[in-house]
Amino acid sequence: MADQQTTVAPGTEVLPDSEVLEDELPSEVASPDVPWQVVVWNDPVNLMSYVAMVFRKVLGHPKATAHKLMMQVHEMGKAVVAHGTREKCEADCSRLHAHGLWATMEKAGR
Amino acid sequence: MSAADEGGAVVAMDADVVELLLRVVDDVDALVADPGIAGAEVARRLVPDAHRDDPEAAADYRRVVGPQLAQERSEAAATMRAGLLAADQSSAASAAAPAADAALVDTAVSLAADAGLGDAATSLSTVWHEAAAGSTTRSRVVDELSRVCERAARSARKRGDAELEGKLTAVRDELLSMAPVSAAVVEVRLSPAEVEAWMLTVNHARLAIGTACGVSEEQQVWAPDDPRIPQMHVYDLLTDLLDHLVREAG
Repeated sequence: MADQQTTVAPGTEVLPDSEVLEDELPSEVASPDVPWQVVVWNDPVNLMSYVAMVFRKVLGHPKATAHKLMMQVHEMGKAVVAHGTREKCEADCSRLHAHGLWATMEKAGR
Repeated sequence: MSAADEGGAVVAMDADVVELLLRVVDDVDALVADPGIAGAEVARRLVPDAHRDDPEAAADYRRVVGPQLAQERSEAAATMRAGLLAADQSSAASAAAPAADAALVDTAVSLAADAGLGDAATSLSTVWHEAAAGSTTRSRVVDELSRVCERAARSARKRGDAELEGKLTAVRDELLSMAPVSAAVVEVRLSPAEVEAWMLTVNHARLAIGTACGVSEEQQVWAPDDPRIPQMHVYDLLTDLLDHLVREAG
């Protein structure tokens, strides 16, 4: 992600890893026992603060979860941000695309 | 300046930035109508494939979602344009000496008619006098009108009419000197829905420019004569605006 790629954008709350507990993750992210998943890929243009905001507003993730997923995208190159049926994942994908994120969907467990 | 409503935002900018953003919105409209105009790579970035390894599913997704995205982006751009035009009109309404400006425009029309470009000037004058209708910005018409004067001055020079050429040049210079009037700071107050529309549009433009210019994760140094620099100046301005909107909207 861009611009603030080496430092988090001004106004973006930075949480130490220890503060983002696994059990805070929404069940559909933490327990991929559903057939499809949505993956968001890193890109050099989208702002980190914007990506975290989209995760909150579009996918409904809590602030800490959204921040953790954003950092995973940035540092690992991608992150699974949602699970569900094919229809749900297509809907999530389209909302993420509408907001300019690079999202794909695939069968879970790949 | 009072704070924005929750989820809303207040954006303060120079009037010339309003003008620039209106051109950006025009560009976004053109990209929405035809994502391919900026090249295949930009088109792929603006409408990504949801299914990476399944061309048939990817095509189905594009067929269903593509028009929805286009409509949503078009509506968002229209919302941003309306906000910018309202802000511009508000700024113009508070600007000083509109009567003097009007007299200057009428002079330009008259002189341009003498030089054979009356129709173009009259058309622009009509738009200028109807600026309250919100079809365009005042500074954009002034800019176009000054170009008409310049063309008329060249026409007068070809005909050997030095006096008319001089008058037209003087009017053009005076029109251009009106820029300080439009350089006032414009404040735009956005509702949460408008913030969303602005963010979608601004990010859309950033994606197009960033992809076309080859923005990467690494620190980039641009040569002074790099043709991408003007676009990157717009990109940087949009970056600041988007960051501001994200922070304001919380």
